Amino acid sequence: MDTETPEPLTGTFHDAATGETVVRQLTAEEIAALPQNLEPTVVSDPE
Amino acid sequence: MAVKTFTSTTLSSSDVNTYLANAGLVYITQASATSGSSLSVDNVFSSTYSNYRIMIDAFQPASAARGLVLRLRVGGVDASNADYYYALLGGYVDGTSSSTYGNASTFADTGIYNSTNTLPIGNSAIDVFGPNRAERTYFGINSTLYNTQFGGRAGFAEHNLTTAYTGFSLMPASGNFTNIRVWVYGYRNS
Repeated sequence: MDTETPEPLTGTFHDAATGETVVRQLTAEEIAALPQNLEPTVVSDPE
Repeated sequence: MAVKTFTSTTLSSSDVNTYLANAGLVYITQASATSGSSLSVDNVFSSTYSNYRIMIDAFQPASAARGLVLRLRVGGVDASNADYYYALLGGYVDGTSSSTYGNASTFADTGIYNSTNTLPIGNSAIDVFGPNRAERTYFGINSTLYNTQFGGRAGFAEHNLTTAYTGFSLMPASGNFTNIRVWVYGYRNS
């Protein structure tokens, strides 16, 4: 059975002090803190 | 700085430098992302300025129908507990409501929402009051969104902790970015 390995989650990190931007894999703690389908409560959307 | 009336056609370098040094809004940094689940901006809030303006545009989520949320950040870690409160009043161009509210939320809503994933749509101007002070942080928010039609939202957000933050993160309410751009300016204190 073929199993597809999910792509690792990444984030972009910009340091305003140095101007450097790094794209790296998120840590387990950062992944755990990501919003999980936490769409803001929208009142009276037209759809 | 006192208002000065120029009377010559040529400004001295001293005059120009004085006016540059006394600008109201001072550019701090610009950042963008074209992939990934978050865009974090570190070392942007400091004691140099009390208040800040964050300008966001070109929000394009990888998956359709996503809002854009914000969290404060310090020491490389997002403040992700349920300490955010927000109320954004809004409407769509057909006259229906686009208001959104959060009470003890784990994020502050930027007001931006994009029901497509094919175009970068949505922008926000967010004033941040005292994020680097050991006091509660307040946000004034004014945003454009798209949810099969254009709409707008304006209101406030508040973060309840008295932590001195040095940065913030933007993230789709779930999933990844295809595009996001952000600029940060400081309001000169005096």
